[in-house]
Amino acid sequence: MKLQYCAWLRDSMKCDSEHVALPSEVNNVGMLLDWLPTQDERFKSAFEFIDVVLVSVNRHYADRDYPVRDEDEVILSPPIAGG
Amino acid sequence: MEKAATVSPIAKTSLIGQRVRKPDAPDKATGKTRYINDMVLPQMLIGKVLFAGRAHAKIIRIDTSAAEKLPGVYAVLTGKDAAGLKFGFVRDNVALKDKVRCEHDEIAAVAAETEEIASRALELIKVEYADLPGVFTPEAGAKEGAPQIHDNFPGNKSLHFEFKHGDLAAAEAASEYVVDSVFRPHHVTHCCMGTSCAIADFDHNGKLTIWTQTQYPYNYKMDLAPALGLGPGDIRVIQPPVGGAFGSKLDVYPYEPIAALLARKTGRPVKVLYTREEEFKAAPTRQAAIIHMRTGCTREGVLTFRTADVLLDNGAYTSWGPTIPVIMMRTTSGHYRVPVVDFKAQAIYTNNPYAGSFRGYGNVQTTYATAQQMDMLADMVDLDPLEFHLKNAQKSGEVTPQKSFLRECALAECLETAAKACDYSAKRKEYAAQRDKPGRYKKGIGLASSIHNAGGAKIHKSDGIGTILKVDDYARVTVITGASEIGQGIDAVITLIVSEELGVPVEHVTIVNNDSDIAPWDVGVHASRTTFIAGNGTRRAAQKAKAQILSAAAKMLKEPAGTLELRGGWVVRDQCGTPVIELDRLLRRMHFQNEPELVMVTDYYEPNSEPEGAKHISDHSAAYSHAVHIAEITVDTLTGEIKVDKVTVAQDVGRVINRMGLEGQIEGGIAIGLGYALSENMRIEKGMLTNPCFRDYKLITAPEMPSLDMHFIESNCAEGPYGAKGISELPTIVIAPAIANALYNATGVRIFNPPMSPETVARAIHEKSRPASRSA
Amino acid sequence: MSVETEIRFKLNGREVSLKVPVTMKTLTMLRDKLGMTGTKYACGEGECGACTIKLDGKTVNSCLMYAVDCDGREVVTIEGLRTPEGLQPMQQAFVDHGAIQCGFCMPGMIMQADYLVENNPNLTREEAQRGLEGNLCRCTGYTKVLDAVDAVVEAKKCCGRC
Repeated sequence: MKLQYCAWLRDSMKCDSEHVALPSEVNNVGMLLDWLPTQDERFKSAFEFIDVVLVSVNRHYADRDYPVRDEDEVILSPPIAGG
Repeated sequence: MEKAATVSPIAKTSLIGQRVRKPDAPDKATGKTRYINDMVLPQMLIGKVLFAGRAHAKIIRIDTSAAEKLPGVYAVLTGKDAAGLKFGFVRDNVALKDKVRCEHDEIAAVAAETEEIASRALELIKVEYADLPGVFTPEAGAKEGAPQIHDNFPGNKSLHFEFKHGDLAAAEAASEYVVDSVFRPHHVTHCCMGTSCAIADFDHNGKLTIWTQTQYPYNYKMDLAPALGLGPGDIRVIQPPVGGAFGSKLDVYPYEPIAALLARKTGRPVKVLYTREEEFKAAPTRQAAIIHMRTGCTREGVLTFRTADVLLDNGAYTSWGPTIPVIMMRTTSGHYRVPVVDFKAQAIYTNNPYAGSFRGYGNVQTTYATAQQMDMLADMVDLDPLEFHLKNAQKSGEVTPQKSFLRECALAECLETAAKACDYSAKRKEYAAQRDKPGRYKKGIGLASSIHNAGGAKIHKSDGIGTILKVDDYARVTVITGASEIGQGIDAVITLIVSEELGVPVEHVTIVNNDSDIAPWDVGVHASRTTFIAGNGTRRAAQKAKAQILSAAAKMLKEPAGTLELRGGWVVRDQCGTPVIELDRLLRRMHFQNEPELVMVTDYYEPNSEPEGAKHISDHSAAYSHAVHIAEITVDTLTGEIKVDKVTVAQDVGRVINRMGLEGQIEGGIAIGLGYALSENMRIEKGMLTNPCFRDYKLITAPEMPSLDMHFIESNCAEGPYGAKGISELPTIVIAPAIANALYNATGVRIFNPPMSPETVARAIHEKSRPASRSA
Repeated sequence: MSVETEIRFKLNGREVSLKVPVTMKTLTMLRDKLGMTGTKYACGEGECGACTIKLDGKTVNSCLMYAVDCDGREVVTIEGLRTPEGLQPMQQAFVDHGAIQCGFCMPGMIMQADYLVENNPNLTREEAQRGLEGNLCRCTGYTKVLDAVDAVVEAKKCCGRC
């Protein structure tokens, strides 16, 4: 699975994107976001405010229930402001 | 049962659409209101910032020893005191810098007893710089081998956005007419009359209280926290009255964590307040851009495609300026019916001042292009120009390529209303015919429209608002709302809605909205969302309170359920208006009975809209709205001066709530847009602002305001409070291209690079009249 | 720091005496030494009018004059405009006509508007526009400010005592 980070997440994760091998039992966005911090220290602190981050799966907006598979591309975008 | 024998029946009345005074106006009229700029706290120190004064440099050495020794100085901080405390959307900023990337970079900060001592201390700080070659345009920043501004943003590449829809090649092939132009919307700045100010104070539990001009108090906590190494929960945000904001306070800017760092170091409250010169140089700007736009249409005048290739001057750090493509693409794909769209935007770091949000947020820049290209195409097709606009105007129920659902769309009505009111088509023809005739003064008329979010903008997962409402024993209502008052008049709207629902006088409504420890969540004041979102939240909370009150009344007074109402401070029988009990008396009965009942309700309102995914396809606002401006001008072809005589405005407001506030927001929005169009210009040379004062940066003044003929189109938005839509950015967005189109009508000259200053217009007129052989 | 001197003047109808540095501007004296924060700093260079006060009956930019120049004179600030009963007519008109949004420029605007009408009971809208040219406002577009001024002029005509 390709994880792409935007904005301040790039700084927290120390990279723009990376690949992870998704275990079969992780099959939705919520489970993915819960599972990642167990894999790597970087996720632990970067994901402190993960709930405000907008998640896209294959470029579609996805909430926690949205299904994910290993071949998907997941983009994590912190929110923007307006004016 | 109570009998109110001496009180006659109370008829149903409504405040919706009436003129309601702004609750804080009397105190503001007497000078009693204490703005954040006026605040003094016990033991407070004054903080001042040493700015770099150069655009791109290494900092070799800073010697603060003399400054620290100056009597009355309590702290001197430099980059080492903020090292590693990165903040900002892409974490490219720190409160005090380790390298100079723009003129207003904060190199050191001082806290002292008085401003005089703090200023003197700044003079004693010795900084040794090694100047670096600078980058002053996005083109230069993008070039191979350009000086790198940030180590971890190679090629000076900042944010990138793209949206595509449909087959562009086929659409181009189907186009009889194509206009292709490059627009260069320029740097302007907010010029809030109250300069930037923050006051910070830590308690001895390590909790920060910050008095701030922020317009987005909750996300502000999350954005400020990393600049200080704090958790967001340890920050209390207090919002005193402010002297304007207009989008400039939608991000954290370095003077705020600087105030906090000084407060932490000294253990005392510290106030940082910019002078006007510092404000011009250091406050965020509007986002400058280079927009290469192409629009095509068939011979019959049906739009076929619109493309926009946008280059953004990111400036030295990434604030909200470079994120405007999110809205720019909405205009590109949604301003009129456009079947095929190709949008891309790239922001490039430069050593220029950086941009934040500003009323209109990308739509000002984009509509300056789209509305002029519509006017250009209108001249090419063999159609009455109004017909051309109407032909391409969406209707209610249409969906744009980005999935903006135009549930109630009144663009056609706005076009027809405005054009009829000022005799647009006939005047446009008449003035065009006069264009090449002799005569110093030329009249012109120009039409422009735009579309903008009017029901919030779901750029966050939550675009909602919390409201807490209580009614006390005296029928006084307190609304504790997340909505910030920045001068735009949400206080008047909230008191009006409470009065409307609960039948109490507006003077009996108090609003508490300025302390993040007390008030619940709101996203912030932006995207023209506050009346829509806070209005709905207030209405829902008030209706919950009313339901509780009327249920208690029915039970107590043995009236049938559902037959009572609240009017004029009384509980009345709805059908006939007969008063049965004073509201305050009822409330006391509810409170002081065997099982006491207080009226305290809460509400959370989330609008019906969808967050965008990376594809940028979603119905991201609960409503959209349009405005049409028709500007009538007189051009002095000798001096290039444009006098705007009259502007006819037709805007889809959904429903008028506070008529006086609505008018005021449109008048004020137009004034800001007029300045953008005609006179405001940050003259930045090699990264340095050369006109940081009102004498040389020209705002619109009283004699320059045209007369306005305003028409409010009420499309009755299903989700809006009483049918209302958000309104206050469209006036700023639409006026500039209306004037540009009027200028063309009058003189045959188009200005793609605002402002249309006298010098620019005169030069263009002169060049147009030069013999053609000159250019061979 | 600076040499100080004692000055004595009338402020909003009352005698005031205090020591001020000779380099201090009137605006700073009013705001920092006397706590009269109604008069605003918005530019400090006489370009915006937010600091407008009345000096011996004429409006001036208090940011451009030295505090010592108040000695022996009569100063009226926005705080001194109201009547014992409440808002005076120009202040009330600004409130009633929705002329106030953020309000930061309004003390200066009201001082100047009041002065214009005081000195010209037949003030036209165009004269009011020119008279207010030195008062910058970023919120309102001036339209309702001018409506308020028109209303005060009209009301004065009706009975001459408003």
